[in-house]
Amino acid sequence: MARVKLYGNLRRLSATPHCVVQGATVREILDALARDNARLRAALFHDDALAEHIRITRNGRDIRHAQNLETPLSENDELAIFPPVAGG
Amino acid sequence: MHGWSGKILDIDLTRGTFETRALDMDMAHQFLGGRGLGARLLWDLVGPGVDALSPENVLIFCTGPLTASGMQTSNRFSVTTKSPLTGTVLDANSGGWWGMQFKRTGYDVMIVRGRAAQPTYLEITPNGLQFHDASALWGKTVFATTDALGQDNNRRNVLCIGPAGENRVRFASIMNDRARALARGGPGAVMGSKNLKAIVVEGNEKNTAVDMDLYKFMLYETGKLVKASPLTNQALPEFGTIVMMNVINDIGALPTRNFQASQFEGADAISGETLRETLLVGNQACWACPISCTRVSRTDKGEGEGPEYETAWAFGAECGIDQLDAIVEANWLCNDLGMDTISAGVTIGCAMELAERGILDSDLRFGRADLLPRALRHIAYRLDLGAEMAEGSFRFAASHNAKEYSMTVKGLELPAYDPRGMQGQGLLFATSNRGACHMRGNMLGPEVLALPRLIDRLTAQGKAGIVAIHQNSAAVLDSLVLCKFVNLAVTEEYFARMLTAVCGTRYTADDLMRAGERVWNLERLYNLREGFTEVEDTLPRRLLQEPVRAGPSEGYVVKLKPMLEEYYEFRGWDKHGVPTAARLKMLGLDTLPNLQCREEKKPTIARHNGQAPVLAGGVR
Repeated sequence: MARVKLYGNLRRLSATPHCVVQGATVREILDALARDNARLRAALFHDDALAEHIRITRNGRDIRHAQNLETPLSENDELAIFPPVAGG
Repeated sequence: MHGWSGKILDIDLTRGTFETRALDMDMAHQFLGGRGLGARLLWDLVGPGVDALSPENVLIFCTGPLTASGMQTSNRFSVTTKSPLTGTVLDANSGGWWGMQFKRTGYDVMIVRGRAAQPTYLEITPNGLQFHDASALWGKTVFATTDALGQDNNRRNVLCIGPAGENRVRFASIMNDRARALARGGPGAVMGSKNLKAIVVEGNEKNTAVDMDLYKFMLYETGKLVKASPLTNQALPEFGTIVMMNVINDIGALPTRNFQASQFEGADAISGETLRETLLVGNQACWACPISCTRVSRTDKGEGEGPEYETAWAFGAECGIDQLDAIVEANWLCNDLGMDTISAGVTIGCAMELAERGILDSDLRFGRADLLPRALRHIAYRLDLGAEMAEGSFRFAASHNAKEYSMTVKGLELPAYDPRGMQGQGLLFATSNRGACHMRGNMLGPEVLALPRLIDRLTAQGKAGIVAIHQNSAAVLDSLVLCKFVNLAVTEEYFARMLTAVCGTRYTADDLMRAGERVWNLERLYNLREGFTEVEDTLPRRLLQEPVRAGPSEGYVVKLKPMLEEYYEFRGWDKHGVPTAARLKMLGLDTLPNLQCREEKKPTIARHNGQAPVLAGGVR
């Protein structure tokens, strides 16, 4: 289970951009989020892999430093999901 | 003209005269334009020990060989001077339309020397240059001055200072096209010290390509990639840079309350997402830019440009303020008064901390959004406490024996990244030639956004090479002068081919990166000549010694020393951070005037004592 926060234009693709979702891994969380939400699924995934430029952090650390989509989650973890963004 | 017109407009305000001089084309090919050419000219024009606010300092406005060519983002220009805030070499660059229009007057460079006897503004049109009495404009704000002088984006463009520049606030900006800024390091104060209020340009010449077929091809290819990139075609147009607020807060690198913390509980309230949902009414583009990252916001006090991420942070998390409308209005006020929003916000944040600690007798407190307008006005007009704050946070804090609370490097206030949560960014800030700066090679890409690849932001090892390469790359863009956002879509290879098409001389990406390294080393030499040493390649004590107390970066300080050692080695400098004779020879800098290179076994460093200092390895 994790608290999930969607950012950027992903917020507009979900009725609940901040929510609690059941799942043991990041992949399970994303599958749950995108179930019945084709637009969100299209934004998050490219085929079965995470879409390029989508960034996900677990408690502020990029999941690429852990096990990517197979990163296991603990209760009270927070997942932040960002679309492509840039700035300065 | 094809890239360069080969002409410098050299203005003497003391005498009220001007002349057209030839641009040394070897110099132009080596240093390109913009920041590079400005640094090279400054080396000759402003020797060691000159007071930045004296008539002996100069302002060098430089375009690049691609300015006004029509290439994407080819609107930018730079100003180079000696900074009154830091004492280092300073360049700042800006977008909008003024740079394009100045290039159309037929000059590559404008040098402004001396000091006018009375307030003056310059007007450059196809009829020539005229000096005008600016007494009636002196005291007017930036917006009023711009309107009074007839700003018309595509035809007649105004560059000016506001009250902050007139009052020589050390972080006063030069503004162009109303709300575009040559912001950091105080160029506005230099302009104010010269009694120069504004420069108006109207031109009709064109910068056209020698090889039109290659030009059109590169224009098309670049446009295609800018359109294909979700960063330049969706993220920046839709959200602008302020979208970074939640990104940086999430990883625990958002400096909060003068860098006392690295996450802000009010971050979402002042984010790009919230701006979009509440105050945003549109976006805007500079000349020849398809990206349109500029925000246009509306509050019940009016409508105007901004805010950028840095500004929203500086008046937001840095000051503990979570009211977006107050931040938007503070941005407008700061632009109208003519000040750098980053330095203004961090100086106010410093004052807030001093007041809360009982060091300063003031009602300033973190979170007091209602006090922002008064603070900004008092700084710009040097009233009450504002007169002290106008000196910049380092001098201000030092005057209260509290310089450890000034978040600066080489006197320039840090921008919106806590380097305890981004180690490479810490190295970048410590080594940047104009002081703490995120625009001289931002590590945001590799350490956070995975552009091009993700590296661990909390690791110090192995950062030196990436930092140095990013610094060199930024120097290329600043010298061409192009917007860094176009680099999100295309590489230096594209810039090289476009430059080849426009000027008719073949450039490769390697040539450009070598030019970037040349510019970086020249700036380093300038600062060394001014007496800066490895001692100033550092960070505020808070970031080196106080671990982050909570959040994803908890427990971290910046591990600067090993990174710095690695960095000097990667740069080909000696262990004191001085370019060796061998490196300077490789870059073609060994023949700089007033610099001698000879081989010696032991490097030596001496401060300036009336003669050219010995820098290292027999470099004098």
